[in-house]
Amino acid sequence: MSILDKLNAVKATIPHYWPIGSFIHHNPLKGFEDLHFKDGLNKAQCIFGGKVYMDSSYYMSLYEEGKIDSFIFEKNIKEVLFEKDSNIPLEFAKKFLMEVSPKWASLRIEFLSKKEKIDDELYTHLEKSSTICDEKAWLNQLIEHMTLYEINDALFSSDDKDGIEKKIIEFISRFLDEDQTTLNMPNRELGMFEAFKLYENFSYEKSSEKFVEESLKQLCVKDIEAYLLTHLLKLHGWAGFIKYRSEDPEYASQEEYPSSLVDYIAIRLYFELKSVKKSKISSFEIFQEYSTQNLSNVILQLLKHKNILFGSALDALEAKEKTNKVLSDHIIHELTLDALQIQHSNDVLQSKIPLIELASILKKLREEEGYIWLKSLEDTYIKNYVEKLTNDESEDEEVVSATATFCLDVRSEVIRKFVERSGSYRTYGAGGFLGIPIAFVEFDKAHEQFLAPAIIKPQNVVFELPDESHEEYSSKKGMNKVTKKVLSDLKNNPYTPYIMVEAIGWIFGINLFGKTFLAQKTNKLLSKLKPHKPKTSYTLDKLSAKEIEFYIKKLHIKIIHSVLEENSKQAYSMYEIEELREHLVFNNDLSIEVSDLIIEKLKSIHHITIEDYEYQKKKLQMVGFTLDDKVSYLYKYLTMIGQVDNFPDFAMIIGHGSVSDNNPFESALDCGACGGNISLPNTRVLCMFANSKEVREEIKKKGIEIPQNTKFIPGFHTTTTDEIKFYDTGTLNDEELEKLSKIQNDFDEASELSRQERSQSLPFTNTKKDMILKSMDWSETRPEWGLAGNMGVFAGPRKFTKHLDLKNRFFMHSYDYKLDNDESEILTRIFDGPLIVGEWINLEHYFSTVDNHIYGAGSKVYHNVVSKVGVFSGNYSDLKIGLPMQSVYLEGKAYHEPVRLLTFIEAPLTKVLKAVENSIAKAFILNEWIRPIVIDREDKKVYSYENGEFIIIKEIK
Amino acid sequence: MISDIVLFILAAGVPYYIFLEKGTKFHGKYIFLLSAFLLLSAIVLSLFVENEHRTSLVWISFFSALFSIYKATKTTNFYKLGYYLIFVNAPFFILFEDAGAMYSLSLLVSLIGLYLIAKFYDKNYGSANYHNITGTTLVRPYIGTFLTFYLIALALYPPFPNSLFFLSHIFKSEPNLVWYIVVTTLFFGNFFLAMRVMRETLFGRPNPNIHYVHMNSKDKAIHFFIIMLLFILSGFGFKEMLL
Amino acid sequence: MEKIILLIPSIPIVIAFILFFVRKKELIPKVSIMLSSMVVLLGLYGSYYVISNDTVIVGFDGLLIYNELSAILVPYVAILGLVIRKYATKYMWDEAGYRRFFILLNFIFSAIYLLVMSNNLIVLALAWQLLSISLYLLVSFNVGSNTAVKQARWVMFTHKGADLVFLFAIVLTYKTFGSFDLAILSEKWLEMSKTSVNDPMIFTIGLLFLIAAMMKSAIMPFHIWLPYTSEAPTPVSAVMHAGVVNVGGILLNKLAYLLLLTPLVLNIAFIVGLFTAILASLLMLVVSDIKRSLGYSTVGQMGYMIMEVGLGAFSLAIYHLIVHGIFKATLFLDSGSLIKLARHESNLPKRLTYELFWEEKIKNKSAKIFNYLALFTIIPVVVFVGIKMVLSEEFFQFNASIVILAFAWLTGTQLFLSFFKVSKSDSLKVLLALVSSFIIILFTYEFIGVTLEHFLYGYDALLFYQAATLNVSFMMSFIMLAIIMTIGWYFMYKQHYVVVSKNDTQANGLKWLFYSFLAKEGYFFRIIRIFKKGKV
Repeated sequence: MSILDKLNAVKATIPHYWPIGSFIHHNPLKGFEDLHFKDGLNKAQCIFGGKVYMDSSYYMSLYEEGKIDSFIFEKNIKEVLFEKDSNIPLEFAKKFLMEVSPKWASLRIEFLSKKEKIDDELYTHLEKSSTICDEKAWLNQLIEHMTLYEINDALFSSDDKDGIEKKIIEFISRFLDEDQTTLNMPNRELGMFEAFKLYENFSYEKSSEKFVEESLKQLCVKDIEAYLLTHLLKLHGWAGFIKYRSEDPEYASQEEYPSSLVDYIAIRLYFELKSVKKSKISSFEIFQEYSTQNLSNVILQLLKHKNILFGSALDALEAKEKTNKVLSDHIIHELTLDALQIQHSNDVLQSKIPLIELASILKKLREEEGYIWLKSLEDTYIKNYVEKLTNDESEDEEVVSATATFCLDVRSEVIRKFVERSGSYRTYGAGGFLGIPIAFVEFDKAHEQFLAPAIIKPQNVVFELPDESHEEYSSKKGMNKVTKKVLSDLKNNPYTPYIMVEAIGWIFGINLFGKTFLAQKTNKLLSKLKPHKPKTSYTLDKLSAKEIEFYIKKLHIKIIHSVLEENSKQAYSMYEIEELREHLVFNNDLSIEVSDLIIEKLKSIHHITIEDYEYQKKKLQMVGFTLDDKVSYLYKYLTMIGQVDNFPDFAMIIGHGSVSDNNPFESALDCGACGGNISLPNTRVLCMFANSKEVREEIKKKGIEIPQNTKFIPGFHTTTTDEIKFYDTGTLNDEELEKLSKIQNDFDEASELSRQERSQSLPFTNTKKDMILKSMDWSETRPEWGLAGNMGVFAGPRKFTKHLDLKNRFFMHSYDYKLDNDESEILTRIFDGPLIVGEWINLEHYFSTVDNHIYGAGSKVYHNVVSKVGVFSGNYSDLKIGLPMQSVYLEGKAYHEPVRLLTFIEAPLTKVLKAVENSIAKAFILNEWIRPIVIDREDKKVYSYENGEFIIIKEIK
Repeated sequence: MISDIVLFILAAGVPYYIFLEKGTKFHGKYIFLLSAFLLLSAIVLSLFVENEHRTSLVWISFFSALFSIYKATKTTNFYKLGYYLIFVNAPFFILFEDAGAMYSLSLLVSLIGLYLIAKFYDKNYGSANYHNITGTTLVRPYIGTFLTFYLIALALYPPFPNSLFFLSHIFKSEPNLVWYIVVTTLFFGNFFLAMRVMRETLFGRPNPNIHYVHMNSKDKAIHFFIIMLLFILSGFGFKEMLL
Repeated sequence: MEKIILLIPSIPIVIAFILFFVRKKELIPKVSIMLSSMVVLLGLYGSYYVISNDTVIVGFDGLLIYNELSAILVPYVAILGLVIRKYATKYMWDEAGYRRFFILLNFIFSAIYLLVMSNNLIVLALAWQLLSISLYLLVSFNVGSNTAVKQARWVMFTHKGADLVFLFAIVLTYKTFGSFDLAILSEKWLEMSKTSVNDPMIFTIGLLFLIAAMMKSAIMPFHIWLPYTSEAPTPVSAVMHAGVVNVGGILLNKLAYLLLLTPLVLNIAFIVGLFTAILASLLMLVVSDIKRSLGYSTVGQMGYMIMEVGLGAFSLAIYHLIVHGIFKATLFLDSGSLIKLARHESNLPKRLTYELFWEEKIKNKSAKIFNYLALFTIIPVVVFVGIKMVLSEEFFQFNASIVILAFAWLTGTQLFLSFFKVSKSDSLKVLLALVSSFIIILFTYEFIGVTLEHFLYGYDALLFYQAATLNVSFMMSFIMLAIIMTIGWYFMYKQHYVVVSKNDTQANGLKWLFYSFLAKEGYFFRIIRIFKKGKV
């Protein structure tokens, strides 16, 4: 196996990292999804360390609040214990989990004050069963996931690790920089390892792979795969980003400046070699030798390094006592405490089980308790919600004045509830991209936003074009651009910032004082200076070949013209420019004289080449949709949410996004189904389809008749402030506008109520103004709760949930199984898109909550934006993956309740089984990374998927 | 001359403490108590006999202080650190003459605080070694605050009396070469030792292998009293320095 | 009655004490903001009193003073303190040491007030040290992070060093001049400056004070502590960059009359300042994370401030530190917006654009930027010289001013060049608007500078310029100016006109040498390591 293969074998373990500009919620343990949830978590815990469940004291408090049902808790204990074929009494286990486990650590210490007697038998048992006594094995366990320089640090109390990691970060953050620094690293186009060699002035002829191989040989590494993983784990955020980049060849920065994990490993090994060469132990072979000679000392130093060694042992080490004795004292101490812990537990438990047996039972219980608690919490929720969902239902109103489709996002639950209550409205839920993946080029922007779940690569490009003249916009925009550019030129310069600061530094006072004391007024003032986007429409039709040719030529000529203008003193005619373009693209002869420099510039910087021509052609061919596309997208959407007849006058389709200030994580609050962007364009595209005559005619043939007076209106829901605004209302007549304004009023009322409900759970929100303020306050670390608190999915008709108060905790997808065919196509689509997004969001929150240090991003207060790709903490650290502390915790307490996604599906079991079979989400469903519950009203049964099968949990009357 | 030597021996008993440490397994706690007692005697004695520094004596105490600093950087035990700090500051006692007594008194008071913390650690964690007990500030803010106070006092920062008496002396003395060397070394020495403790036990991530213990209200009251005592001494210090 | 103003430094301590006993968490920020506004009011009242009565307030046996310098700085620091507290109210809400944070903040502000208002070297020394320790505790506020605590060591050591140097300087001052009282000392120094003095002791004292100031103001080679405080909470960074680092400048202003006696110290200040300004801002350009890059930018700005002191422009240094404080605090508090900017202004190559579908006439712009060049390199210099002439003709009596002139000229040229590089329009109207706004800005700036100078030092300001004169001939300084301008020109030319040379993927050794030198922070850490090894 080559190094590359070995690396590929381990790289799945590293969490994926997407640049923070389009934050994508995902499961950090995606690489473990082929295992059962419980096994996956256990394995991850061994690899990453840290926690994978909450502490038992956390679950205990939920238990006391009544969120965990004691009956279900008992049942789960029984189940798990039964699985392990044990004859532990239930009461005993329960008492252990509830009374002993939360104070497990404190039971270990108490002996110090009272000298207690230790049971000899127990002691010998512990001695035998512990790895501690086999010193060799113990050593191997201690150095697992340690690099050689770390071992050196531990043994000789040096501090090389920090310096090495710093040097690595310094280099890669500059290499991966996306235009944050002014003076960029030169020659990055050569690749990461090549640039590194120049950076370190290191002459080495061969490839990075070769270098890795040689270095590993030099270090005498035995298990290469494990060692590569060890290195990747040291900075798993940066490694994850490099992995992401190298796997996505279309990522612009990767295209220009190639990087790869092998390069990264090579860089790491370069520094490791350089460091260990100077120290006493320069390879694992030497370490082997050294550790056999000084085994007890090595173990002691490692223990000290990991902060496990007891104070008395430290004192003894300091006094230079014999290491053998210190170690054996330490072991005695350790085992004594272990024994005492068990004895103390027994004092609480008052059981009659022999201590030795008790020891192994407790060990087992400790291993299983996290899962037992978690499952009991989930099961309690499942039980309660199944109860609620099956006992009662509200009738759908037949005649409604409008329907509104919201994103399935949990945040739309409350607002949907209030919209429905504010008048005769019916609401639907669907994945925010509405089943239409588009690559969207915003007005005045040059890059594509992929508005679809991260797993789908859109095949249709949509351009936003101004509908009205936009001179005011352009002039303001131009002014802002010039100001910004001039300012940044003056700031980022070795000799001009000083006079600049003296001359205009005080202008920044407007921001400093205004934003702090008068945020709303300042925001209003500043937004006056900002250009306001004119009304726009989209390019929805396909372009003809001729048009494509025309546009490419136009683009090229424009670029060439501006380049010539800037660089050449000579004036060129249009004809000459065209000729130049032909020369550049088609390699035709050139009769006019143009300097080589300019031609080179056009080719290399502005990409006027044949490749670009092909690229543009390909892209322009992707612009717009064919009629068939349009009809099929609309048809899929309507059948998916089950809106196929009884169309009202207005069908609102509402996308959402978030507004916040000074928040690097802002895109985490936008629509997850649109890859961390706002979902307005998708709703507008869909409404344009649905309002088009052609499409309506075609779709009629498929059996869906949309009445002529039905209008589809796109809308936008700002989740921070809960305001809803409608777009594209220009085509409506006066009567319709009047109706719409009434609807708008109702929706405004719903917004108000929704704000009120949400403000209960946020700090610093007493009035409506406080809620609005959150969207523009630069000192706000938590503009909204976002998706925190998410717990479940409900796929089914709204009438079963309408009467429930779901507290913004459910993803709600409208689904009517009666419209689905035998292949469960619709349900499969829901599984393939929205469910995957839901699972990613859910597990992102789960892991960011259980161990924010490893899977989350830590506190925002210490974040430092780096290379425009993410944040790290402080001066240099690993790139932070996951969610910040403030998104899932409130004042140090978990706000998000970590549970797996409780997926309620209203459909016959057979249809669900079919969909699971067809879906790409099959692996994680069957491995229980979510909790599927099927409400089968035809069979009058409710099923839950547990231990590999669907079991009946309730019979519906 | 004799009185000088007696004072010096009382204040800086390096040779035999090292000897005690080495030879028998004399517990650090008792060495600390003994040396604190001796220092106290020296302070009391200095009120009666004239304390006039002799350059040679300053040099000797300086070298013993250097050695103590070196020893102190190697330890992570509060008791040991406590008595090393007494030896480290012996040159000030000699050099500062009358002001030295007040300085040493403040030192002694802050060290008593440190000693109580050491005792607390000893009782609850099995040893006065602090290397493991990281993140006290976060987990046990009371202990953290008290310890911070003592360490800042020991690191010679105002408004604690140690620093004030130190300053008032250096502003009013006649500097010479020895003076500069001693002042510089001990100014950094004390600071370095105190800050090292701060970094290792007050700061850092709480150690999951340790069960942190709360301080009871009686202990809190005692520490509060000691800190009050320090501030009273500070009052004297301000008076001496500014007026 | 007005003596009450002298209680300002003690108010934060009282607030800190009160905060110990505030039970409810919501009340902590409220109490501290409310009570701190008292400082603002008192400060403003004091400034009003000082300005309107044209007198100073002295009290506590002459230990504290509220003079012109305090009248400017105390309200500034106090208002800044309010901003920081207001910002931290929500920003720090979820942190474990919320109360600790608000308490510590008070100590640092108390130290700054005391420092500004002290009229006695002993008080100054106490404030100086209080600042060190409270800064350390704030910088390592995130005690759970080993790296935060570790990097805070730089703060600790540098500041402790500054403390020691400062103490020695005071001891020597007392030995030489026989007093701790700054008012008495200043008078004595002013008196002495009338006759020429050449005492190595005075030079030593001046140098020690300068070094102490350099350490606290993060001037090279003592700068490293400042960029490496990124792990301090953002509001602390704002306090640090807008308040704490300025104390070097404040100290030198307090000792202005002493420096009058030792022109050589001023010249040293000028050279280290200039060196720091240029090198630090070069380093800033290659740092890939926002907070450290802002840190280096501050180092550069402090360098410039010290350089101004070295030129004798003491009051300009005060002006610089205030304006820079506002500027840098804003940038820090807003540092999270970078991602928003990146999201909205994508830097991807503009290969596909909506403009394709949009009818747009291609304008033929014939005029070339180069043609303007001659004009725009002259305009800034003419404008600047003109304004200087109008406001303070005495400025031109001293050739040191040429340096500031050079900086101003470079800035002006850069401004015009980048304006015309970005802006597509070149109508006469725009041009006039640009030039006139340039004139207005420069005029205000100069006007404030000159007013400040008269306010703080009256006609003594002239003495400083005289003292600070570099002992070089007029010809030499002209040559220097020419060199600075040529180098500046070279950079600007490269930046604006040579975007890419050829399609060479060949690595340029010299370029890499330069780049690695900057990327590795001027080999600072390597030098430190060699030094450490050498000791062992």
